Amino acid sequence: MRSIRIIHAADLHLDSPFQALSAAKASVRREEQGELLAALGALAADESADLMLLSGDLLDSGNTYYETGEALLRSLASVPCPVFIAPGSHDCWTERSPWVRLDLPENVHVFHENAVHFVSVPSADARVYGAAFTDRNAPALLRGFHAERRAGVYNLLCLHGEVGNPDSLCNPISSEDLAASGIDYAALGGMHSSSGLQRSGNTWYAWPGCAEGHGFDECGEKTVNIVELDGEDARLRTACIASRRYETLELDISDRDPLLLIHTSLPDDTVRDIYRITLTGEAESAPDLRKLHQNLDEMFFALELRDKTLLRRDIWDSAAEDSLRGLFLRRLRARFDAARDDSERDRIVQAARWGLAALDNAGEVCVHDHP
Amino acid sequence: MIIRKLQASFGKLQNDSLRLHDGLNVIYAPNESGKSTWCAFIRAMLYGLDGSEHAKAGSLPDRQRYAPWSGAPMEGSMDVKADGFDITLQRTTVSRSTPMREFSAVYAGTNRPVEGMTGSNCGELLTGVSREVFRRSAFIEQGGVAVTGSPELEKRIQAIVASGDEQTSFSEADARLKAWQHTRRRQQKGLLPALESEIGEIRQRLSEMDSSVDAAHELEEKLEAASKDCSALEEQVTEARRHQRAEAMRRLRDGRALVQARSEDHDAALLALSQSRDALRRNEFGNRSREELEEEVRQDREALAEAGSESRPALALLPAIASSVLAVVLAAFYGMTNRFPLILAAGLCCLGAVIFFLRYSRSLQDQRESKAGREQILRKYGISVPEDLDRILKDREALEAGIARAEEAERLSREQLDRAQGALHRLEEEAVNELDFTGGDSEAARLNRLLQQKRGEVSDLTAHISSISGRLSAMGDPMVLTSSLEALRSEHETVQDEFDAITLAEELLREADSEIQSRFSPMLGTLAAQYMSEMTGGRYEDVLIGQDFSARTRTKDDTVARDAEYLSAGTLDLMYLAVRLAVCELALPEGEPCPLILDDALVNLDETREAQAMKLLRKLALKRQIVLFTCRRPAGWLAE
Repeated sequence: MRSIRIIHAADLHLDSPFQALSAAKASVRREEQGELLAALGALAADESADLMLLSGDLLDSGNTYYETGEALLRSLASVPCPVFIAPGSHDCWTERSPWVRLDLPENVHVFHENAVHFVSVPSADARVYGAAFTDRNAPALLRGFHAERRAGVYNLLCLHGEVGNPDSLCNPISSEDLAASGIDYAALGGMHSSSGLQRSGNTWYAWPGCAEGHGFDECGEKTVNIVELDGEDARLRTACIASRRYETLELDISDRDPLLLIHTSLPDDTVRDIYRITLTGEAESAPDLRKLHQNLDEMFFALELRDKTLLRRDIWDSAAEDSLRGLFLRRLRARFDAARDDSERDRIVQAARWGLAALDNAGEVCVHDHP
Repeated sequence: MIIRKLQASFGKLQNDSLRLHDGLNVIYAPNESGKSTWCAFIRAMLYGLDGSEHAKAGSLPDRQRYAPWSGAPMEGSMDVKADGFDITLQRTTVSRSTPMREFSAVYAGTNRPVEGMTGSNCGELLTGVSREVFRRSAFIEQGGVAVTGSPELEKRIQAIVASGDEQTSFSEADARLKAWQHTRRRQQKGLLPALESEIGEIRQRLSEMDSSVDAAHELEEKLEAASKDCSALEEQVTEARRHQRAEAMRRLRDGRALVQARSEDHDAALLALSQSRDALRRNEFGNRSREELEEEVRQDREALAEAGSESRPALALLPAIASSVLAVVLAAFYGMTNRFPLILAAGLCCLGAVIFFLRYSRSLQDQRESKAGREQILRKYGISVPEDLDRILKDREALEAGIARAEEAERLSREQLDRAQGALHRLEEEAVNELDFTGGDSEAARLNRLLQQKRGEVSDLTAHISSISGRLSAMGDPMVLTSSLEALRSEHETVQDEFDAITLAEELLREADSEIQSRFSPMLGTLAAQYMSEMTGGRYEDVLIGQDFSARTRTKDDTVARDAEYLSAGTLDLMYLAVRLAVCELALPEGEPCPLILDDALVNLDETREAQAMKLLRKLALKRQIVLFTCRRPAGWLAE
């Protein structure tokens, strides 16, 4: 049995909105979405891939933007090997889905039945099994499935689902299902973080995570899988095709200058990244986020600053004073101590900052430029 | 502090001076004698003229209102005793735009300036309170006895009732918080409404886009179905046209062949007719009509008959010869007889012979002419005997009958040709109708109309889809809009948190201020009630003061306190005077007492209450200097 190389990607969620981006920067990301798809095609060419398996949620919804459809078609047409797509919960196969409307290239096969079946790929000595979501939810499509083994032919699976959550409404997949499937490599999708190469029985499986982050819940480098199958052995490499990434940074600015601290805490090159920096610790006054933003703006594609600092203890100490300030802080402190959760405590700390700024004739705690 | 002497060039005061002493000073002067001017002068000497004051409706700033009537520069001096030192304050004018700007404070009788005392801090150093607090406590202007709040007075009160610093004012802090709150939301203005409007607009656009996308999908499905119908109809139309055209062409070909055949028949008939007519033309009688010919033949027959019936000339010769013979005989007899009758008879016979000979000659001539005419007639008909005329006429009739037959044949063939041509014409018209696939009622035309209708439907659907696509493009990129919406929602959440935090801060600050006020108000009320009672001879025993310094009072017979609106002008003045005096007592700093300046504060009181008020003032004047300007000589004062 000869070795084959597979490009495995999933959860591109094309057209899904980007978090923390202004309209102008979201427009830039729209342009870059085409580059992501082109990079996927280029990767297949560079790796001389035998197959490309796309395991669902390539699109974020059934209403694909025209340009996205065009870019997807261009990219898929540039892939020099057969491409298999298993529609997932976001881009499920329906009569109105883009998979029906788009004039897909000949090298692309989209599974459109919600039962696992196969397509033979003689050029890769493989049978590619797969199924489609035909609704937002799907039952356990792999339950009780077993692929017939044939000498010299790889059994591959391209499927969207959720591994390890038997209660999932999105095609729950168990390791037992995988072990009993008779599949050599299961290219799964549906989880937004990468699994690495895993094995259940004789079945290798992996999910690559999303190919590109769309928000601060998808931080760090996002990749696609390059899987090499050689008989019963499997190797997995990853490749990053995303042009930007989301990152978060939490910094305790107690007794430290926030600007300097941010500079010393950041890696060298962040200019293409989207950062959320959360300032914590104790501070007498709220950090000047506007000034910080002005100073740091150029270092990132987009920056979101969050102030989670608490009031210094000695400020609360003045709650003991018999004065307007003291009476004010005392009331706040009582509420702070009785607060049910962090968000309420955060609101009380902010109220204290605003009140003290008003009493001290200081400027606004936070200034907005919004018209 | 005690004011000793005032000297003013201020308003109507023209280098006038006023000496004052410890305790109660009552300056009685009629209206327009400058009492209010002296009050304003004292305030100006202490705190300077407020450069920020601007003219308002009904009032002028002091720097204009008290410009010396004489035109002299506004200036003055005030001798005071403070902390055991006699000090002379002097304010002069260098520039008329900034009157009394130049300030000096020297120890009396020297040129030694009072260290640290400037034109701007002089009042606060000497009285212990700011201009605002002074105006609301110790300085009681005419008609302004009621107390109003101010941040500075709040600070003083806070300093009195609390242990903290004097730098914080609730109303100032509250105003700042309100301003920050209003920046974020004030009715339909501010950051939050703006963000909500933007969010709403984007949501609306996204909703419209969703609807448009759904509509476009629906239309695309219709378009696909209509396009399929179109394709099917196109095939049907093509087949129907092909079939219909073939049928039309076949019928046309048949029609044209028939016309061709009928045309040939007609040509043959025409040829036959032509030949018959040529034969007739070639006939002796030519093309003459039958009537003419018959008339001519009849005439010729008559002529021939006439020619045949004429007398023979030989017969006419016999009488001539007989006459001649007779004449000769008679002449012979005459010769013989010489008888004259014979000669006469012979002469008559000769004449008769001549006549007969003439007649004969004529007959002979006629005979020749008749013969020539006959021959001519016979020659005309080409016959030798008149009897042949009948044959000729029969031949002629035969020719005419042939022509008639040929004409009939031609007519018949022409009619057949016409019918064939008519049929061909109808066929052509039918073919035109059938080959006009846009109109008519043929199957192809019907299908073509259906096709055009379907194509129109496709075109309409395409245009509609294009319109929706254009509108969708104009609405923007949904991903960009959704990203923008997320960013705006995040910003709205942040600003809303700030708004909530500011609201909470304001609420708690107000509570803190209420607590401060709740401590001060009873103290103030108690003291004011005491003063009120003294000035009303014990009739009013309670004064209740609100946090905004509004006051109510109650007699010992009242069950509830009366609001200011229900009090007489005199009682109202007394109540506020009591509050003022209490404020002075509580809010002014202890130590060096600040003088109390009253401008016609007792003008609304009756003599009894005026005397009781004067009694209280005298009592208070034991602790602080009181300067009372009045236009009415106080009763108590007279008594004293």
